[in-house]
Amino acid sequence: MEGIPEAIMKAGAFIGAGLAMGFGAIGPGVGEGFAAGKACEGISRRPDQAGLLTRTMLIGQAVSESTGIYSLVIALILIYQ
Amino acid sequence: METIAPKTGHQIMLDGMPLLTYQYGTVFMTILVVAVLTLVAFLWTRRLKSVPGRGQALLELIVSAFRDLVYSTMGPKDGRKYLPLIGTIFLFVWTCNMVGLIPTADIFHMLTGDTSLYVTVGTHVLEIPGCQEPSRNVNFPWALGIMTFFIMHIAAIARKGPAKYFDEYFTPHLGRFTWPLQNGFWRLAAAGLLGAIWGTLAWLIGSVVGARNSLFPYFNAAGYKFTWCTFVAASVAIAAFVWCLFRLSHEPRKVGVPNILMFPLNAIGKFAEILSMSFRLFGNIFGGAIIIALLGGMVKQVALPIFLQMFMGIFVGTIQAFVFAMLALTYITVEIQEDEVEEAVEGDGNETESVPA
Repeated sequence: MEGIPEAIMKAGAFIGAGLAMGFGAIGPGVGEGFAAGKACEGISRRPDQAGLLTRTMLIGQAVSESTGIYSLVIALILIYQ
Repeated sequence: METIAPKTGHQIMLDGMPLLTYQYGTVFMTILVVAVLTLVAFLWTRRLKSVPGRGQALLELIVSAFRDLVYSTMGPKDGRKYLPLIGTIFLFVWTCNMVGLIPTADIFHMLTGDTSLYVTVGTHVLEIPGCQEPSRNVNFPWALGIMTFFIMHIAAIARKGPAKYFDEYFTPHLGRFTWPLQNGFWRLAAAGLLGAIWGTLAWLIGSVVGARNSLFPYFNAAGYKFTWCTFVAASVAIAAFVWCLFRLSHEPRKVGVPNILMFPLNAIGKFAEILSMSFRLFGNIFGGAIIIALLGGMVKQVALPIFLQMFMGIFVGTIQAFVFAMLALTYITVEIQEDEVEEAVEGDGNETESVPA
């Protein structure tokens, strides 16, 4: 690490942060959209269970979001290293 | 008079490395939120009547909503015990997320020309950066996560007993010590014996015949002749062994025996769920704060920050506080309650309702 100039290290870190966030956002985006779509189907079938379905959907989305959050954490570490 | 740079945090060093940092802003805002919540709760519940007034009706609405949620997940018996904890986690995290909506940085800027507040304590100048969400600091969710971790594991040990609790680290169970009772054991023993005979024969033949044209001359370092005969025999023995293991894994298991190979996975999983729960809250709030700062700086604080605050501050803050409390509730429920999964697997599928044609 000592031999690499500061500017190139920073550039690499920023590119890495952008890549991490960009690719890391694909999976959670698809997954959360899928969960929302399925919840919509469920609500259209059972409108009386809308509250329970929405709650379960939010929990599921929050859990499937965690990979995106991990990539955000990695991006933050890269930017603020 | 020399100027002392204002400090934003106090570092505790260990062997020359920073171990902990007390961020004054975070600690100050957390204490403030705790004080406000305590005061509000005390004032709100001071005079409770059996016929509720307007304020008490709102309070009962909030509490009963949480009670229904917790009871439907845990059942009324456990739920009664954990409702205060879950409700407090939600209210605390939610208030901490909402703190960022108070525009203290702007007020400080109007009054003093600086966005932070400076407090002089002795020779030190402490910098308190206005009303920032404490959950913007990663240590805040970690503290809550560690608290949840200890609560759920101590409750699980107290509920199930240490033996049953630690036995769960070795699930799914394997019929390891019941092999002699099963057909696969004898198959395995025969294969191992055959492999040993083949290997010995191959090693004898190979050391005599193949000493000159060794396939792997690099293995000759210690005088051991690794010849192609040895290679083939060892392959046959290993293949027989793997085949037996494969067949054995399809045998019906009679008695469950703790599987020690699952221990690292389960142990890491216990920490990972808490870690991911904490990082989720931190990442959402901190990411939201960054986006608000970036986009708000782009348009020079005109109109967009209001909508950004509405989405990133109110909506995401509420959802994440709710998710944090719900995940804590779910983890505690999973940890303390007995699993009836194995009995469900035992069913032979005859219970399915037959639909009359």
